[in-house]
Amino acid sequence: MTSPFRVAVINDEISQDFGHACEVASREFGMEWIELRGMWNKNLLKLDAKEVEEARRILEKNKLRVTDIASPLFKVDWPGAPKSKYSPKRDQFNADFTFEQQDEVLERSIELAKAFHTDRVRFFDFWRLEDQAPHRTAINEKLRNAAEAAAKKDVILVLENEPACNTATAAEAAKVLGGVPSPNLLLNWDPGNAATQGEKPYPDGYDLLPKARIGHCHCKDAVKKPDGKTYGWAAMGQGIIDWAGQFSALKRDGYHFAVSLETHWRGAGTPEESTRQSWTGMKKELQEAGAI
Amino acid sequence: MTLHVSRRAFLSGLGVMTALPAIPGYASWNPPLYPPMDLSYFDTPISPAPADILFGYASITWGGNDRRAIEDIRSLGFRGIQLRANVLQEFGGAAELRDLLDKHQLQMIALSSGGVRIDPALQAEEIAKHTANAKFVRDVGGLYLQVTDERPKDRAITAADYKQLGRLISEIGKRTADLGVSLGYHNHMGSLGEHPEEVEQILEAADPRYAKLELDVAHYFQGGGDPAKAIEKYSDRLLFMHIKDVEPAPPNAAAKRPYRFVELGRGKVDLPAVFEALRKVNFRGWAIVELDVVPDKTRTPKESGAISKKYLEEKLGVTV
Repeated sequence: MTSPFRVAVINDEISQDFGHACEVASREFGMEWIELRGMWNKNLLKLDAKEVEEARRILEKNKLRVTDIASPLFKVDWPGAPKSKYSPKRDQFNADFTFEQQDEVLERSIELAKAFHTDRVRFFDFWRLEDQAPHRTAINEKLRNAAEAAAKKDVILVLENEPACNTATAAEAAKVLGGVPSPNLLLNWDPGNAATQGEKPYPDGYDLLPKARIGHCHCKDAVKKPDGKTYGWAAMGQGIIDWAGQFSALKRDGYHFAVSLETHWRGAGTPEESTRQSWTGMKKELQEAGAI
Repeated sequence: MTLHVSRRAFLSGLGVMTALPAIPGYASWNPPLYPPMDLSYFDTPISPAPADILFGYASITWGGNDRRAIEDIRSLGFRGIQLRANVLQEFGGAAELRDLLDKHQLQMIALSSGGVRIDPALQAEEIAKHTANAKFVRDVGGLYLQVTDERPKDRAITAADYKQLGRLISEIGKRTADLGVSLGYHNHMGSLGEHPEEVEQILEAADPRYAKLELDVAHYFQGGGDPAKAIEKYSDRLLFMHIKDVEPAPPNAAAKRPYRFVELGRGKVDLPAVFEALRKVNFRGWAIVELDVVPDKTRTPKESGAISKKYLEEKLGVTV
């Protein structure tokens, strides 16, 4: 597949069976890249040495390179602040870590990046607070320290805008990127997540972003629910996001990292079939943008 | 699964790599994307966090009146609920149940999906049924799927039966995992997993990645086991807990079984030892308090729930 981007899919959006997920991504979808989150019903952070080796063997067999480690780093409550209403009651992608464990989560994420030969680790901006203003300076300091630790190992942290976290939209992402000007802290631009917060991700949200600091991109589509207020997921190309326009703009602006399918939509029943259908839509949008 | 690379094999692999350019035809050879490396770092897991037990309550006591159960369980102060598969018929769809739980700020922890039949002729049907139930759990926003099993009644049980059950729940668990719903096998009196050695055989035959243990402390005790020891033994397989108490059935000709379930603290299960073991293994997850039926018919399900809650808070010092 010839593209200015690293066209990828998150493995567990297809299956927890990592071997099968890789076969679908490489042989059926024709991809050369994959993003790693969880496998065998385990978060990546919980894999032991045998499992890491087995995952490497499967990747080698399928000639797949890894775009990034989709780590749950900093998807925890910010200490000292009122507990976030988004703080889950357990089990988000089989990850359940505390704030006190985050230094080890960061270290392990970096080691996973080394083991899977990628230079980037996805992370978050802590569970969303009703009022993040009193804590923003301290949170930015934490992000900066993490980026500095990653830099020492030649790893880049990519911050995902995520509705349940303090950075949810492009507008919020632009502020955080401005507040933490580290070259090892880039953005995992997720237009789908931004859309669910009422932001028009392209062109409006994208226009707010410093283009040189986009280091990863998640691809999913969103629709407004019948209540007219909330949003649900859709297959790529079936929602409200101008993905062809977004891909064209990324190409125009010299972006050459991952565009990674994070389906989320489950309208086709199984994750695998839903991802297959969403990939069909994503491919069409990429073709329209002249990006494959 | 292949063995991971030892330090010695890793160094040996590096030697081969450096010698490769001298091999004729090397130029056309594609170097590996993932050359050998020392992975021993991953043999040490992230340091465990301290135990953190969240409490829910099972709706079974309400005998199918789940709307009332939801109201009562929330008003008792529990934050999670386990429901039975009858909710698939009782509610118009997952969205209706999800909205009702949201309104009451209750997290759906698990759905009791029923007993798995091990007859190979029924395998496809069993997988389809429980996978469909897991989809419902996912759509409601729940976490886990509970399965028990149906012990064959018309013949002697053999070791092959435990293996077949282990394989089958693993197959179901693979499918539910793809839906984001983990499967817990519930040990149960009258099932293949009644006695501790039977539970052990089933878990040994199952894939630990896809079939976890939902330990019911009262059933385990009644089956002849020590639930505190089971918590330590299966600490890496524990998905969630059923906290329950049991006593010998009072002398009564109408009693169907020689035991009956009672409110927490009123039976024979050493619950302080159970919670001590959970803390020792740093258990972080849900403990569902369950009472199949109200033992004293003068009480309501809610009143029984209040007795159990009082025991947890006043005798065991936990916060529901």
